Amino acid sequence: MQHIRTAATLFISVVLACAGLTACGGSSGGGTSDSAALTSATAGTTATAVKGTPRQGGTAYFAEAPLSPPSYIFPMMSGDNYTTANANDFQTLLYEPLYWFGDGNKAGVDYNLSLGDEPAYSDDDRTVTIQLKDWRWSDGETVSARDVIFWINLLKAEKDNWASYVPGGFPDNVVSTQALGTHELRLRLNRSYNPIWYTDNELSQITPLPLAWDRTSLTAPAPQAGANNLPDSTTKGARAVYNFLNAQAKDLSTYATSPIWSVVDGPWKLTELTASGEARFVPNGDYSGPNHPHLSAFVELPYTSEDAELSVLRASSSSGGVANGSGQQITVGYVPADDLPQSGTLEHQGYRLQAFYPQGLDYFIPNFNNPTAGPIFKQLYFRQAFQHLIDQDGWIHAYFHGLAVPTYSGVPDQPVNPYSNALAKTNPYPFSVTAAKALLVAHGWKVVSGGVSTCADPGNDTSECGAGIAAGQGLRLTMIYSNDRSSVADAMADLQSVARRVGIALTLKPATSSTVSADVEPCTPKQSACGWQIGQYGGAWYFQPDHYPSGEEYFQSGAIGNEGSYADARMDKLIEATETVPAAQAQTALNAYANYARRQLPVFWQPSPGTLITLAGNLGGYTPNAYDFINPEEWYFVK
Amino acid sequence: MGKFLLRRAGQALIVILGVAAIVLVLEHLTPGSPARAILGQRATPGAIAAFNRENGLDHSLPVQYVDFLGRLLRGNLGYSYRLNESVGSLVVHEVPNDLILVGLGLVFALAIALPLGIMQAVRRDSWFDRAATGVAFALYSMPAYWLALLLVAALAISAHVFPPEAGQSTATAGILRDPGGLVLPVLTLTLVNVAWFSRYMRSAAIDTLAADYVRLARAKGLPERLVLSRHVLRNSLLSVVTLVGLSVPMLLTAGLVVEYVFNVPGVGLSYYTAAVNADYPVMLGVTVVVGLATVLGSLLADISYAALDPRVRRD
Repeated sequence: MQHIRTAATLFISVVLACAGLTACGGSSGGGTSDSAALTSATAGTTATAVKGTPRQGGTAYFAEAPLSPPSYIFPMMSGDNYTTANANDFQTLLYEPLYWFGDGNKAGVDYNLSLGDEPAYSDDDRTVTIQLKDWRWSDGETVSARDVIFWINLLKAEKDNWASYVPGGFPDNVVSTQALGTHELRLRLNRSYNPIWYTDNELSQITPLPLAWDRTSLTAPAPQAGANNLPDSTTKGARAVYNFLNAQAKDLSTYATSPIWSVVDGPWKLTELTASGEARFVPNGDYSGPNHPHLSAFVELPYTSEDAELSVLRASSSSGGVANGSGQQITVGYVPADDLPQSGTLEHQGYRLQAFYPQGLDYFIPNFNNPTAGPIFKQLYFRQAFQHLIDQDGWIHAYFHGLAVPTYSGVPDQPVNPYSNALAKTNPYPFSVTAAKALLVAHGWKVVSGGVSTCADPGNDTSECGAGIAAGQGLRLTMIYSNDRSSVADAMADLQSVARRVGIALTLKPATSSTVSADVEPCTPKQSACGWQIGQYGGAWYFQPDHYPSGEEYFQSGAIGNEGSYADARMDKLIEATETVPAAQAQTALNAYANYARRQLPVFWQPSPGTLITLAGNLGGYTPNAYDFINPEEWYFVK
Repeated sequence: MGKFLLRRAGQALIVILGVAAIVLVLEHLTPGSPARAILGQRATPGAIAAFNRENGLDHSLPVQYVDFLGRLLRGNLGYSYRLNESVGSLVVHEVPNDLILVGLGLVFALAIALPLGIMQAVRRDSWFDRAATGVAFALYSMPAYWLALLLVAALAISAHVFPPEAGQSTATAGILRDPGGLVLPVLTLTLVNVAWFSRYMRSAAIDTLAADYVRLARAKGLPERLVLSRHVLRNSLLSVVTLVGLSVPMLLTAGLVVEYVFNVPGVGLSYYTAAVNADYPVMLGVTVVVGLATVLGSLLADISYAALDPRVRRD
């Protein structure tokens, strides 16, 4: 009896405790996960216009991605520092790139915001002349052609420390560089290039650097413009300058006060970067570009998790002030992907929501050099069958809450961009288990639904399994995928289930994204590193800072980003054409490449997820940038 | 005492070096190249070679370990691949956050759990004891992460009583200047710790209450208040002191959850992130620091034990 009473008391205590807590949790939801909330998180969500009269001043708070604070200020970065937090949200506020990419949400160059006018190509597209606008550094010096050459000199000396360096690409394809005047320089190239490709993928990498940085010690006097024999003029000197600047960039505590980093030409000046990653900016009073800030300050806030960011959004009022009187409000934040069902609640709080899709491609990668699976992946019919099993529309609806766009081609149709053609809108391999099964049967496989299909007709004939596939070989594949996001894990579980219906036994190996990055690398069949069969990063290839979607970095034979070692002579030729044809033929060449990639499936296409941006109710001027840059100088508050 | 401390310090050193060696070996057993994991898809062979050269990853494992020890002797815990910051500086910035949060959580938990455990023991099997036991079991079985989110939902989002994040100043004083921001993270840690400290305290107090010396003290007419404070509390504390000393790693684990939910950059989260991102220097450096803290906690427990129990001192 005593035990029964004790157990009953325990049970009641637990139930009461849980009931109390659940009530709290329930009330917090405020209508979460209702279907109405989901409808706003669709591909076309565009924030409603802000109402009120724009005013000068105010501080905007921007939510940084979790555990990704700004950590490197020098624009020439190696891969370990090349993050969105550094490249897109931090450095470009201070140091203007030569060309500003992303005309609002449209892909391409915005010459109005760019330091350089549209480059002029001549001599059969072997020469490019760059004209700079009359902008100034905050130390009063002109942003000059020599500043562009300074960048190129450092890059030539330290190619391995530039995250976007591609062997044979920029600056290897530059034969000579010459300043024609303060605002003009000429590059002679080693052959003719497609001007659009060269501007979008090569000149896009340049950020002019002030000559005040052309030194190897802080105690040395700042170099003067026009001085001869500046340190960067020789390879040895350029290396010394790079090493000095890199060492300076490792001391984050000096970013706001350093005589080096305080020389800026962007619209903002950094006033503080705290140890936890909070960055504070004020308008650069010496800014000479077209976009003068309306705000009096701009602050980037660090977060340890998406949950922490969402809690602050949920606990705040959306138009000024924080409900509980402590902490800071987020003026521009985001709804974590796994919490998209809460978007309706945030709208109800007064936040305006804006869907954003960066220019990129999303796919997962078959390893063509894996000794077992490689011969299977080399068969086009198999890739087609496998692509038929990927239910992009279903995944977008079920797992991405509508916030993703399908990918069908090497040049995606969505987000809208000037590079895609009409064919990119249609899926040549729509979701169809029947079609997948038919393709396998037609090529000599004995399909065992729910089991493991085996090759019944080995050989190279069109009705046989294909080269390298032995009789009786089973369709057993392993995929390593990043489980950072539940949407990706759910989609892969769906793929596993669907594949089973045509006898493909897909083993899933969840891992962190860095483990996937470490594992999924180009290899040769005899290497132990070639054990992976399908790699899924769970993230897209973003076109930044190489903005032209021409494929030379990921689909060309031997390319660095071609992890699966896809090799196809026709693909190589088509990609080369995108790089080298005259501008008038550029779109035709790009279409030919895109359509070939669309049908040939060098990778398996999957949906590209977007981000749902939250905007404070009283903030105007925000437009998402196609390449994920931010322009807080365009933002303003309304009365 | 001096000899004892020296012996324990020597043992601590061996433990830390051993743990660091194990971590280093485990890191290298993970498949794939850390350089590629860090540099990403666009990394050229030249960039990978440069990264390995710069970070000493082109050396053999024993040489890397010796290099690590050499740096450690010079007080250098390494340099984070991802954060562009020395591990030493990271620890200096983040340990105060942990000390404040975990320390306050521990102090409040003990302040509640010790008298609660004794009261439960004294009123054993009463309505009060059973209710407290039920609440303790509920809290003990509740994941700290879930508890933290529920507290945020109830007290920050719904009731708007407290902010959902801790004060964002990087200075220790700055965090303390925003006491409202400390409430929810400290409350989470307190509730989690109260549950198990009070259970241990109750159990120890029940044993102590049945001891002959307590019966004797009562027979001699000592007031109950003095019986409890002088005899029961002091003797029951022995097991809890050991528990507190050995719980440092577990407290850091709970700290990780609090850091994650309440936006507090701390060592626990840094370690987790480093493990996820293959940031080996941070993993190694934090391992050394946490190992040191664990050994120190154990040492403090031994010293406290000796202070509480004269028999230990005589031994």
